[in-house]
Amino acid sequence: MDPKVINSFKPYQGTVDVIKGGRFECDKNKGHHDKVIDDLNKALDQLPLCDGMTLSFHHHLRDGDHVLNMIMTNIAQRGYKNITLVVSSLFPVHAPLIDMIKQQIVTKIYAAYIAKEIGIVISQGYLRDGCIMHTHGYRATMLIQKEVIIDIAFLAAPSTDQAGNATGSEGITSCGVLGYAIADAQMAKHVVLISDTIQDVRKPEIRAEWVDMVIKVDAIGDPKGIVSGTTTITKDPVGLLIAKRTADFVEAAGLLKDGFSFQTGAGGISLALVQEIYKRCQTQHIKGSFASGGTTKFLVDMLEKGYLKNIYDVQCFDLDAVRSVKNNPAHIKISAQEYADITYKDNIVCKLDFVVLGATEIDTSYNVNVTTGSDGIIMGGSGGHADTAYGAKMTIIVSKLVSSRLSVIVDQITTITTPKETVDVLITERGIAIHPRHQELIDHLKATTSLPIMDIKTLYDIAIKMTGIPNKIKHTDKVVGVSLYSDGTLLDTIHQIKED
Amino acid sequence: MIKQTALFIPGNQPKMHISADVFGADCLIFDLEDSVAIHQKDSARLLVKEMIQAFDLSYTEVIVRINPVDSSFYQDDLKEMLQARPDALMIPKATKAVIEKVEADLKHYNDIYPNETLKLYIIIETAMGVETALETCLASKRIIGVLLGGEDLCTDMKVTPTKQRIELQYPRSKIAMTAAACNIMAWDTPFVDIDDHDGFKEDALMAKALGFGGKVCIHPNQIDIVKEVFAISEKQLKEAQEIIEAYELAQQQGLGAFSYRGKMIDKPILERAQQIVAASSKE
Amino acid sequence: MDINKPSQAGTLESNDVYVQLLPNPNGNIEIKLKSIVYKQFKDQILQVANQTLKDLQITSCVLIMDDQGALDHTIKARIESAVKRSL
Repeated sequence: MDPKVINSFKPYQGTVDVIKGGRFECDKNKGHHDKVIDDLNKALDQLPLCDGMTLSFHHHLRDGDHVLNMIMTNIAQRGYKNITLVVSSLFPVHAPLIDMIKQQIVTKIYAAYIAKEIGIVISQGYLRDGCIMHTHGYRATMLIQKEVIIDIAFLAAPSTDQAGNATGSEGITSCGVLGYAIADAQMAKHVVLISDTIQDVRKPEIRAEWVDMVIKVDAIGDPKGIVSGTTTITKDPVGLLIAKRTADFVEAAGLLKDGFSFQTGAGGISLALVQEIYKRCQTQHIKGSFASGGTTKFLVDMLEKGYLKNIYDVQCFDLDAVRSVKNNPAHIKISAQEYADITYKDNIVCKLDFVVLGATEIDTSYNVNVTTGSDGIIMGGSGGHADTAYGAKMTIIVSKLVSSRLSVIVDQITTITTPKETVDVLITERGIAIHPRHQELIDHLKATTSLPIMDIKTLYDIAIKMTGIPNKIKHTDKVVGVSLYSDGTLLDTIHQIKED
Repeated sequence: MIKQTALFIPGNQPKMHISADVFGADCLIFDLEDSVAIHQKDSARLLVKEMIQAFDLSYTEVIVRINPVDSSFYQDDLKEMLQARPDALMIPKATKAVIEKVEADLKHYNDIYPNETLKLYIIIETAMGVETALETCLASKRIIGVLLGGEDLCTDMKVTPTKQRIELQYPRSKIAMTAAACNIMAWDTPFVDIDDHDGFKEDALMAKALGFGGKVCIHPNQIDIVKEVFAISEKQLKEAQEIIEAYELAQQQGLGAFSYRGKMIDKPILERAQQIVAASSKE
Repeated sequence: MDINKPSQAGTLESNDVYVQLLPNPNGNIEIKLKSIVYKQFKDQILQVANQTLKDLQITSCVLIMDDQGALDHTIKARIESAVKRSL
């Protein structure tokens, strides 16, 4: 052999538990051994906490989450400051963060959704370095492409074994899917699971080799706040009307045919819509290929009765969905990356025929806001809104036209969450507006149906005639947050509200 | 105008008022009577008045059910509604004497509140009302429709309503027949179980079979069911179109009377055919 | 006309406004407005309230409004009702 080739190999250094100075840093212990610590304080003592660190949490426990508060309260008590939080979403239960924001313990937040209780504090200007509102899909991109580095990921795990193989489908606080935690587990420098149920796990979504530590606690959350016992269809006649009209539109536009795929939200109108679609599939013997997104009993019904081939699930909203994803192989768990990362080749959103979404505001160009309310205060966030709007062939926004004197159509939108290029239709109780890029569809529907199709400006005029023209909300020049698109580009800035 | 669906709207609930017109009901009945608490009757009538004056409801028929003429609310209801100018008033517990009083009061107010075009719907909801329905329906030229009030009628008769509504068989037939005799609309009594869609559909089919032109709805989700039940079939529409063609042909030939499929067609049948075609082209 | 007797009308339901009328020792019109759409419609609501009182020839009162997104006609009706109940 050529001596040069032989010398190209580094000599053997001997084997130790951690081979330092070698070609790779290896830790024989990072793998399948017992990582459980059952004392929260002892556990945190062992972690490299410091000022200015970046921590992440997922939101699968929704408004029943105990983990974020538990960890952050302890870290705050230790006197750490200037922390960046990379949370997938914040719910009202996370109200203890309010004081931490005001005291600059937490100074920056990345999130796809922030509930108004916390959003108002950010809108008032208390979050020193601002909030980065992104989509679910882009969160996966930014972590996997290392645009944002997490120092420590604290991941609630409803059930895990001692080595850190974890699932959302088992345990006393089972939440179904852990889709938004996968990227964190794969990419964070340190991965800590917090669980109340340590047992064998057959089909883990989170793998032991990603995990450094498992903290055992009494309860990671309150089951009642995590998933609804039952999700219920709206009883509001106006909401039901909008749902039925949307089903009529979907059918008339030729979107309801064998092999169709769709996603809706989980609000009352969306659930009524799913039921309408289900009824029509039954009478017309149509079988869909898949439904995706946040899942509920109604989608599970369609799957179990054979009207859908698969469900691709990134979040469970009720107990039926949790049960189904655990037991039914056709109900498939996916990660945020597989769901909506637009850089991921095989993502689900790009396979959607249509998606039905909400809005707080839509302007006459079809830009949509789900981040701030019409009072300028942060009360939501894109979640999967912009991602699904991008991927789906037809993006349908459903909303009451006028609600408590506020028109959903506005002259000037407060914050762009989803850009006009990806929004196609607005359906309200007083009319349907279709983007002019679909002129053929507009002509076809006007000729063959009695659907009330009109220009979005006409619909706007109808609303304003009822409500009057609203004053513009005043804001200061200070920017308190940004709204990022699915590819991480800047769509809009969020300003501090002016208070009288 | 073919009026198959009329939606009751509680008079004191602004939230329901502002979305009342989106459900496609042919008529809206703003109610000042049973759905309004006694101590809110004064507020409700002002709210309904302002609502009717402010909103463009020109593509539905606007009706207001006022309180009974022997109640302390009647006079104020009348005065405010004459300012509001709905298309029609709906008079509960109607009898000949009641209608004559309303007519007299309307005449009395005509100088201050011109009301010659104001129409009336009457509700027959007592045993005596049923038995004297014909003279009540003929008591005023303003009357364009009659509604059977089944719930109050059962109370008056002291019977317990049955699921199959056996107790309403005679009153329903009587009212439908009387309306036909007087050439006015007949609307069937409301169905109170708003979650029982199958029961409601059966009830609506019975009403249609008995000769009612439509049904009053107390919840928006009943409207589509009534439309479905009372829908003009393809066969009816085709027949109506052929009758009109036969009429036009007869006109061209200078013939007065004409026949269609061996039957002589007179004015009411022709008018009915024209209404059917007009209503269908509205779809 | 002065308002001498307290009265109220309306409810706290969505799209309604709860109004209270009280006598005003200052002898003029004072309006206290709380609204879920205050920032967007404060001016318009006050304008309707003032106009309604003017049309009813009320020159002195304290009008307290707790608004849940009522449209103009509802505001007018509820104020008119409170006035009539007071007189």
